[in-house]
Amino acid sequence: MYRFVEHQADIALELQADSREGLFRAALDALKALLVPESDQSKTSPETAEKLKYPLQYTSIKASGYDDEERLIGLMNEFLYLCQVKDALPLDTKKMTFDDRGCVTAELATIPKPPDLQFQREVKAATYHDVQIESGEVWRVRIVLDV
Amino acid sequence: MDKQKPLLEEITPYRWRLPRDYTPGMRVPGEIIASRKMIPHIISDNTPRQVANVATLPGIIGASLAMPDIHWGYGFPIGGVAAFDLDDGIISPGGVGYDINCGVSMLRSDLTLNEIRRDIPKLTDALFNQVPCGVGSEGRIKLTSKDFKRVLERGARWLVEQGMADAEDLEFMEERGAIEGGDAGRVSGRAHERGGKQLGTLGSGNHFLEIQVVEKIFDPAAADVFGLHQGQIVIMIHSGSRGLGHQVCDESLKVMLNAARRYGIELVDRQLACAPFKSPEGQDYFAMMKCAANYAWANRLAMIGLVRRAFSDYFRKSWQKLNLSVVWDVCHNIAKVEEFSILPDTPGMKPSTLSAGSPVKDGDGRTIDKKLCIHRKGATRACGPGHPSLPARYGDLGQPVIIPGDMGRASHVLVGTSGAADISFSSTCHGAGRVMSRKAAVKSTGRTDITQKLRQRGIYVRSRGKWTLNEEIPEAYKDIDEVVEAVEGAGISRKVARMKPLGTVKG
Repeated sequence: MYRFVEHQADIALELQADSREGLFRAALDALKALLVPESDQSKTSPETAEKLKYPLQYTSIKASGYDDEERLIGLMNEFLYLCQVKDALPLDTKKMTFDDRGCVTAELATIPKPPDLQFQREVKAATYHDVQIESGEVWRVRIVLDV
Repeated sequence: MDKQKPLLEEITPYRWRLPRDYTPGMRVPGEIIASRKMIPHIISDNTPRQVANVATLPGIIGASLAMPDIHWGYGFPIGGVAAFDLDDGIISPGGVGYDINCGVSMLRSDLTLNEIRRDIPKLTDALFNQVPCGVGSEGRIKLTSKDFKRVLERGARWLVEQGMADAEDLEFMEERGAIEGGDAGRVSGRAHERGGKQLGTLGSGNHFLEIQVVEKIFDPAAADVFGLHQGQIVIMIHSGSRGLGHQVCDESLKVMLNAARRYGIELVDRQLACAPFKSPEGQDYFAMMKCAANYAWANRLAMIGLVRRAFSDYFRKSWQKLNLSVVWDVCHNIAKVEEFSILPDTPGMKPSTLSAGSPVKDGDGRTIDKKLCIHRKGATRACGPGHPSLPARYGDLGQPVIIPGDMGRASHVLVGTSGAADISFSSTCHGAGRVMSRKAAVKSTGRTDITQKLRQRGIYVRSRGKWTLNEEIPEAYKDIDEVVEAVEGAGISRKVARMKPLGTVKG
């Protein structure tokens, strides 16, 4: 689950999930929601992509880091790179795996960004500002995005 | 800390000290330039905490400074200035930001509002069509890999060498449009990939291109030297290093987080990630940051070329005949080595610094000339008269400081002062600074058509994105007049001219 919260200059994001994997998935869902205008969200479902015969691709993004906070920010920035530079439109996070070498991998189902879809904003990066994951029964984190 | 004491102590009108006991670990005090009226908002915004966080970094000299357009950022506050010792201090990508060398260029012209009042919408359309803008926009300059490397190392000079700009343009840019020491070999393939297609593009968000009219002159003599007069048409361009800068910053932060751990630097916020200035990691970042800064200068000068073409085509006159010449180009987000005369008892100065053979400058032997790594994040350099970096035309007066405001009210031209060297490491504000979050701005606009609303105020706006204008409404920003009043009151720059927007292009 994600929600966007007040931040003076940029955009702040609150994520909540019942597991580490859920938290990381929520982060990618939030970025997609931020990039794709609400009016175009329907174009990003796997069903629509199949109907429109968009070539579905499977892409992996990875991030390593000292701890989960750094891995999370790293993964979010990889996601932004994939969308904003490689013009890929992720439809779904198929799998999220954490290995014992401190690396997280997200396997995404993507299509090439349709020409008529314009990202509604440029997100420069997910920042490390005050990032601290609360873990336990509920996993929570607040992240500031530079826009 | 004593709860009875006010959070900020007034040093002089417009200068406020954040004491070292505000938070544990502060090596120097904080200092905020602001009017009394601004202080409650600054405190409620919690930005003093970010000012204090910066004050905990190793090798900081003097004070962790904040300009009156300060607002909550990430890591360093927006509007923050910090100077670090080259031997004992650090360099931090978070102290520069993602949009390295985001800055502003200003062009003067021989046109007046009276002559072209009716042309503003068509001229704005011409600029909108000529200058690529918006999310992910790509430029028309196709760079080979060799060219790209030259842009990173030679900055705006590359455009002059290619015949795309005039040699005189460089005279009126900070660092003459290129900072020495950029090493393109250190810049990653991803950064190349992002920057290769974006030279000569405006971007989105708060970046803009604006036709303005000089509506008020505060200092006629200074305005005359800057070539400005009432009723004159001027053009302002606000942009930076685009995706290249974002990539350099992102990659460097990862390296710096590890470096900080390795060098035992305690970080109160990870976004302050840094390394000793002279460490391999510090020097790597510095060389890459210079490349991104050079790219940004080239980017703005490339857009100046496009503006000149749009005006030239529209009026069927050469840009030289229209006198579309550069007043100045300032950068907002940068780390640079600059020299200052400072007192040996300045907070943060170590006795070892004094015994290291630093040259004594003045007769009483009290001040020393010292090179420092100045971080400006949302702040502008503001050199006073006689500064060696100034071109002959401005040498006796001081550096023009271009301060963009919001879409609906005004922008300013200031001039740097000698006093700024002592007070703020020759720095001043960079703009209005936000007072309203993007979410709140959008909510406050409801179903209002911002384009229409601005048109009723005589401002014609073209925007590529459907969502930018609502986030960038004038009310989302501090009143620029109050901001410049504060920097003038603090003695770190003086007002020269005020401009009103007429036609605005947003990404």
